[in-house]
Amino acid sequence: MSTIDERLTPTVSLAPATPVETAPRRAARPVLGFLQRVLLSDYFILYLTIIFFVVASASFPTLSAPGNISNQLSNMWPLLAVAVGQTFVLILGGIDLSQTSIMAITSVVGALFITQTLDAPTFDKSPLWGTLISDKGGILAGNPNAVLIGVIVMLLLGTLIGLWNGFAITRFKMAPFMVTLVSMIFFSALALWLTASRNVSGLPEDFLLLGKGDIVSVYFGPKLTPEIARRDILPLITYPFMIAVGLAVAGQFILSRTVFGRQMFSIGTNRRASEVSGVPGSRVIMLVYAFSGFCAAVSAILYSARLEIGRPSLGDGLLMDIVGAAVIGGTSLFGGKGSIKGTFFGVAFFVLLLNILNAMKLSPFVIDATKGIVILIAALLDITRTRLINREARS
Amino acid sequence: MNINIADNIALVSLPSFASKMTQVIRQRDMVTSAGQVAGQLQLKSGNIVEQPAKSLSGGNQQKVVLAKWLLSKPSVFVMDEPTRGIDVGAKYEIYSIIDQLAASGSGVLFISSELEELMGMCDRILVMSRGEIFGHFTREEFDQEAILRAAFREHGNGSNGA
Repeated sequence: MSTIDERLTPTVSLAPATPVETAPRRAARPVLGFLQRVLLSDYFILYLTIIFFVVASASFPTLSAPGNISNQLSNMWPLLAVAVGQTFVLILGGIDLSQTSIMAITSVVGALFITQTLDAPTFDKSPLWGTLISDKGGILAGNPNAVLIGVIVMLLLGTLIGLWNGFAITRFKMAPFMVTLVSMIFFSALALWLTASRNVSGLPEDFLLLGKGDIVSVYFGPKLTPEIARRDILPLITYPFMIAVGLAVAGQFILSRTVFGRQMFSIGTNRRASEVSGVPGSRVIMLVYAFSGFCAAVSAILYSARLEIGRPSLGDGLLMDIVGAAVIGGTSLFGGKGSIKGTFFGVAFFVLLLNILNAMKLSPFVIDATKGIVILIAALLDITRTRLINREARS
Repeated sequence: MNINIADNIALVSLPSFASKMTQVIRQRDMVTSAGQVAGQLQLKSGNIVEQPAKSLSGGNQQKVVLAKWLLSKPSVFVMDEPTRGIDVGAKYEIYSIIDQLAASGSGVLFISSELEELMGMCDRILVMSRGEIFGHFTREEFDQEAILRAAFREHGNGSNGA
């Protein structure tokens, strides 16, 4: 009993905690240590992209032509916008398969609202013919605020579908994979049904500006004539650039600086433990899926404006690019890890990869297979990196 | 818990480190406060901003859990088996922390299945058996045999042993 009594009079020694060695143990061989540092760096994919670009430019000179670079940059922005949302969901340890069909449905609905002309023989098979749409266009045709209202409708629709996903996942405790898979199938079918499988054209000029309006353009080459042909002017900073990068910066800020961001990482690492620690798990999850839907809608606006149509098959085949870009950028499919910065590099890497594969004139099947292999390698790399980081933490 | 120690400790009280309007975290405040609590508990760790909590020993992980709630300054603690699965040294430190908490005016409800630890720590012991309180002992009445008797529902023990 004496030992127990001793506890009653605590003799707390307030000696400072012995400092523990924090510097990671360097690998014995310097080359290995260097490789390990590069592999663990946040900028690993950026280095890889640059090396890739330089090497590939040597064999395919078109790659570094200003026209190509400008074109590839414009390919990046809509993908970046949607990948930001996917990154958020992946950090939670979930996945949003419905993003592509959210893009399709928002593209179609937005276009049907604001289109100025519709061809009767093709669209009279649509269930909306005669009520919301007619041969005079959508319900907002001729309305001075058509574009503004149309964009708001698209964003709202995307957010609501995302919110529904989040609600089903948290309220009914369904697997994110299942919920978003059902949403994907449902909304892509709905998009096809509403438009009778047709692309919706005749969008107002103001809307199209969102896809190609440029703020800073550059012209390379000699000035032979006083008028420079439009196709020779290369847009560098465009509206899509501003919108997508704005979204990405906001996303990075939320992730790294706000309470919400910390709570996301915490839920992604261990939902149960986070909820025990007072994190409002369901609320955070619902908001993240809503944000994912919002990002998909932004991306749909950029794509629709660029293609100048509302397209029911807009996001088809894009899912692999979205998840791939996020995973290559270091976001873990197991949750709790990821950054928008990484996703940005991942998007750049993916667009470049696609560009190179196209320049090699490979068949679409080979290109898809290559994309799959690259994502597989990225996932393996993620596991290796995690193992290395854990080993450093233990040593 | 792949998350670093500082974020882990601050998780419960995160909103108190953020401005109300923007929800932006004051990182420096957060790390300082987490560091203070970690120091108070003599958490044996490296850099709390870099080291993941899962690399700590069991006892130190338990201290991280304690630190989380200490930081949020509650007036009552409910501790369910706070010393399970940790070594003797860390156990002793946890006991000291609990004593300090009690001394500073917090109420502590200490749940345990280890009789010695309860008899050492508590002012009062309530014995639960089959979903109801079956024995009530104050410090002077602590007796290993009597408490065990109550736990096995043998009558006539404790001051008001049902």
